[in-house]
Amino acid sequence: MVTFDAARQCILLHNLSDEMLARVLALGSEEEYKEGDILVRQGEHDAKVFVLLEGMARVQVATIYGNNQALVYLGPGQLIGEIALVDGGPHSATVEVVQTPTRVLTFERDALLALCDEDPRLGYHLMRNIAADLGFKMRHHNLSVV
Amino acid sequence: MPRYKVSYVIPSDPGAGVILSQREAPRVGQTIHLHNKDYRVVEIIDLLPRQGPVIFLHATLEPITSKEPGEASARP
Repeated sequence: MVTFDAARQCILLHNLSDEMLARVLALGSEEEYKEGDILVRQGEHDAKVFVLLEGMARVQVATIYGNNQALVYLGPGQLIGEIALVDGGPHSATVEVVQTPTRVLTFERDALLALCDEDPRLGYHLMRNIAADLGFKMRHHNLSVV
Repeated sequence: MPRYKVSYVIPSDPGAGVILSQREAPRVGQTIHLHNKDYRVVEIIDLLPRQGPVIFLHATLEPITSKEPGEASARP
């Protein structure tokens, strides 16, 4: 069972009240993966979002030459699959586990969105946190290429 | 208790950068162990205003290419 303190390490959940956090965590399931496991695959429609609790995963995209280019590695507290969560499109990258064990909290996209519809205040916090997370990843990318 | 969300960038290998949350702030000169290699923190900047307990930092890393005396390497 994930503690509130552990859950609040993730930017998605860090500023939720105990009541809000309990409602979100009730939708998640804790899973463990090993090196080489794929969490999400580029181009595929998949209804899952992951919060990394422990371990590390590599975000990579397929190049026109047929190989994979690493974009960034994500460690504890990071969100995976959030772009597909908010825009409903296919996953924009493949995320591969690179450390054994890697523990995640897995959420079904539809359940999270239904919770946001049911409780707009909670939904506002989650969406704002997702936007902040995407902004942070963009800032990281910008600093990586200069 | 503050928490740190850190963007680690490795200019010599842009795709090897890491984003993670940690309980302690990185320090300039600290040795970080990533991808089975050691890196030195050469720069830290505030990336965003603090939000509650979360402090957002950017850290630039350079690979340590040979054994050097100094801090023991740490996983972030």
